[in-house]
Amino acid sequence: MTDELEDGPTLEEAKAAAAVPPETVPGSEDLPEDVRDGEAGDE
Amino acid sequence: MTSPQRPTFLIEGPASACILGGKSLGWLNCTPLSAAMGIDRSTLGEDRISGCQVRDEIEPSDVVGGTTMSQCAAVAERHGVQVERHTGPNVCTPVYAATQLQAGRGFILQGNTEAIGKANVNHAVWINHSGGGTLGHPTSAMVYDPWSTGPAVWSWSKVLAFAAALHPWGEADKRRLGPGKFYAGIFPDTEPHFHSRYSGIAASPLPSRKTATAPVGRKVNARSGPGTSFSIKRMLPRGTVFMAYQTTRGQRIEGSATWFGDHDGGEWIHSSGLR
Repeated sequence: MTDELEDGPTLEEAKAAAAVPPETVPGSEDLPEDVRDGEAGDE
Repeated sequence: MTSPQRPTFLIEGPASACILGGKSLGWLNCTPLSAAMGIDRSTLGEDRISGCQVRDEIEPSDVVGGTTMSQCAAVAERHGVQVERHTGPNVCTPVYAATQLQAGRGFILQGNTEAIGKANVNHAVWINHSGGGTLGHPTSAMVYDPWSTGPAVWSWSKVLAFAAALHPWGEADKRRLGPGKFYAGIFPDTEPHFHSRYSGIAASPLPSRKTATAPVGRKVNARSGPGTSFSIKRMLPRGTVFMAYQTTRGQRIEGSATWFGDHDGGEWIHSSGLR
């Protein structure tokens, strides 16, 4: 299947970078754990 | 090289699309729909369930209003699909999520549709893969937004704006998440992938670039299965490239039972015809 998106980093490059664990984001301490999604509808 | 695995698109609505406990939840299922697409993608299409089924599997049962990332991630995990959850104090950076995406992991992203031309509605979409740019900074993404008519390319700027517009304390609260944070549920790595047929196992490396080795003037047969009883699908002249994604033990020819298969397992070439 062809893809409409242009090429980016190779899979190998990305996998090497993805091995780095995430860091805590400053200013996120008080964010609520759960955010409930809202109601969509006909437009 | 094939593109990343894609799920079947699941559309949200109408209200009657999902009735549980007498409640019409069809417009309140964006996260379950996104999770269903995530399960589809992560199992390479082997486990395809509806968003309504994901909603029905939430424990304890919840048929009031919308749902949360945690509720839907738990359903995915009961389907054997682990979800790396980033919500609340554990939100991740967009760069981290983008890097995971580029490495082969799709994710559910929560945001608010006021950033994309709709009303103030907290919403969730499935981000399947990205394109362009550099590590952690793609230029675009293929987004499966249930509240749309199908998968569509979003600029990465649009993805960032959608995420930053999330109202973490509810739609009635004016506070927004802001830039630099994603509420995301990151699914397992599926890339590179192949679809095993005839007991095919992954080629090493995956994929393996091979070329047809027919004698001059002759061609190598690519068959529909690993044996000469299978139909010939095409004939490869000497030097034609064949990307092998899987191998299997099939009919023994000239002392070897090894056959190489393509991405979908629809074409097979005996090892004597490739190098």
